[in-house]
Amino acid sequence: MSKILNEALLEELKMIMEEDFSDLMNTFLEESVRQYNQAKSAWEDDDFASLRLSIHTLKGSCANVGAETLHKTCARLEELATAGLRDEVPELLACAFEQLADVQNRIKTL
Amino acid sequence: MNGSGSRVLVADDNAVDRKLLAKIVGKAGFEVVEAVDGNDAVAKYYSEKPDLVLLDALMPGRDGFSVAREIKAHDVDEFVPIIFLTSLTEAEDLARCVDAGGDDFLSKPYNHVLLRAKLLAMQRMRETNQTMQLQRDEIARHHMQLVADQKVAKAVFDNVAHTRNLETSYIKYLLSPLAMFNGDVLLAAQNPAKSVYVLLGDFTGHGLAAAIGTMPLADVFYSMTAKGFTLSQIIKECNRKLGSVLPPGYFCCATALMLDFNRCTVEVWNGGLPSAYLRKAGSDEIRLLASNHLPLGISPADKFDDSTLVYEVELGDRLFLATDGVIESRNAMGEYFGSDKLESIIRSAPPHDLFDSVQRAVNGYVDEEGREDDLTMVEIAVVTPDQVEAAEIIDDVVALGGPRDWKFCYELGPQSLKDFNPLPLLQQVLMGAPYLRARATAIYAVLAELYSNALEHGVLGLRSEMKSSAEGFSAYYAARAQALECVHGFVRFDFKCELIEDEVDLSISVTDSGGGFDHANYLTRAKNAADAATGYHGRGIRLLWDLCSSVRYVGSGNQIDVAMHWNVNDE
Repeated sequence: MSKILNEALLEELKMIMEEDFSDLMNTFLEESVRQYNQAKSAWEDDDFASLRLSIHTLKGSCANVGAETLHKTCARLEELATAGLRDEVPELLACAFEQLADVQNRIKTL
Repeated sequence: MNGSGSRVLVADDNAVDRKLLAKIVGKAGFEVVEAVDGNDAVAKYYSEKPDLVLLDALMPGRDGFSVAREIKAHDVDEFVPIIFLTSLTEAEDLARCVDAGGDDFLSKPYNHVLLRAKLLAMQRMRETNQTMQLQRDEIARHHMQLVADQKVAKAVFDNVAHTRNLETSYIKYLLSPLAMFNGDVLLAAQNPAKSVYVLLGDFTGHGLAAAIGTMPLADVFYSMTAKGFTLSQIIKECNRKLGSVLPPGYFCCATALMLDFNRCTVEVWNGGLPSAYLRKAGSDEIRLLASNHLPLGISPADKFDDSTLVYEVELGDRLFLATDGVIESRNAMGEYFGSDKLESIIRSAPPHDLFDSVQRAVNGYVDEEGREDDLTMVEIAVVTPDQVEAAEIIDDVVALGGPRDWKFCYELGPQSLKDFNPLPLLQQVLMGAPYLRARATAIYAVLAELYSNALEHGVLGLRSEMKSSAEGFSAYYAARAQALECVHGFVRFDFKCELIEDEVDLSISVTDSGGGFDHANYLTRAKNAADAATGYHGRGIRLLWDLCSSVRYVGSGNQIDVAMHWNVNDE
């Protein structure tokens, strides 16, 4: 069962980053929103290549901060974007948006 | 904590990932340079010269694969490890990383323990590569130095073991161009009597170690030949010299010859080389001059056997010598050329084409790759004495001064007659008068003739008629050796010399303890035969008539007086 945020991974991240931990988290907060918005406008422009790249990038950050559920969603979106399949994209994008909000809330409470 | 300050370039367009990486890499002891995309990565690579690169595979603009290819192409000698950062998991994609030049990859989420381990491993590899390059460069420098040294060594070698004296009408030779490296040496020189000395040698080993023995050998050979020493004396000193300079286990197989075109004899010493051949002019008869001594540099001086064999030769006879390169030449099937084949060619080829026949046969037999020793071989034809050029007189003393009126007497008793040749010493004393040097050859020839007659016919009582027949020849020399063993008597030289105005007067008188002979009769017969020029005996007296202004037997004939007279301004 994947988690919204993997606490154990975050603990380890805290240990690695030391005093730079909050800076890293803030960077994630900013970047993840930006990347999601890029993905959304790429979809609206019917630009599968850019959609794929943005989702791929977001997916990467999710992995590193332990946002597992969002990571899975991004992975699925990336597959669709790579294959050029339209149907499930809007639904998945909406899902991602919600999950991103959850992650953000959790992070802000750290 | 052991990155030891190596610089790592972290290229990732994702700020989160990049910051995380920078932290992990910094904590591992490395210096960090960040790049935000592909183009930035390339620019930072050139400007910051990192030791290692962490590269995100998918970046906007220029992707990681393209960056990796450029970095790897930039300096092929330099090893800058590249670790790809990727969340690509398909085997194809990972293979693509490696194809683009990636040395390893790291997937997300980044495991800091794994990343640190990989960075350190890559750094070790980079250091190994750098060490190898330094060593490679050093080897290259050494090699260049060696090549330069060898060039100089070769120039010296070529001057010492020069083949100038081999360029004559009666010598044909082939000296391997690799002689300096395979130990072959071929030397020739004329002595003051215009006898031709030839030394063919083959040093053990290869390379400079083999060649270096040539220097002392050539030095001894040239200087002693120029002073008029006998073949035995020269070869004995060569042996002693090489024995003293060569390390144990190193020696020189050699054949030494002395050809006297006046007396039509060849004297041979062969230690360790394949048999030399004497091919008669008129027939297919050949004589084998086999090795019957140890090579030079082995026997201690007091055990060295300097005995030589003497053969009579005729105009047109040929002597053929070669190192083992000829008989050890191999064909495509690895079979050796062999001495049987060589002997049959020497026997069957026409004498004037002997050398070329052998050379053609060997070249035809050998397969290009089968050539192990390059060939060194020499043929000397028996010609008339006028074909021999006089040895260069290297006059390093100014030709002024010297004694202008002098005389001395030199007498040898039995012990000296047995094994001491006085000619080089006497020649050297005479050459102390610079004005005599212009006639060094003639003077030496006269001394040699007078001494050999006084010793062999006077003191030992040998009859020169014995030499006429083929068996008589070797029998004569055997008898000579035997008689010397129990010699008694003496030979005395009386010299008188004057230089008045520009006229030189040199008188030489040689007296022996023998009973004399019927010289009046002998002179008459010799004068009658002068035009016919037949028969061995008589040659000596004609030589004296040619070179001296007067020749006179005194008393019973055991004393002969000759005079040489000339003007220093002649020729």
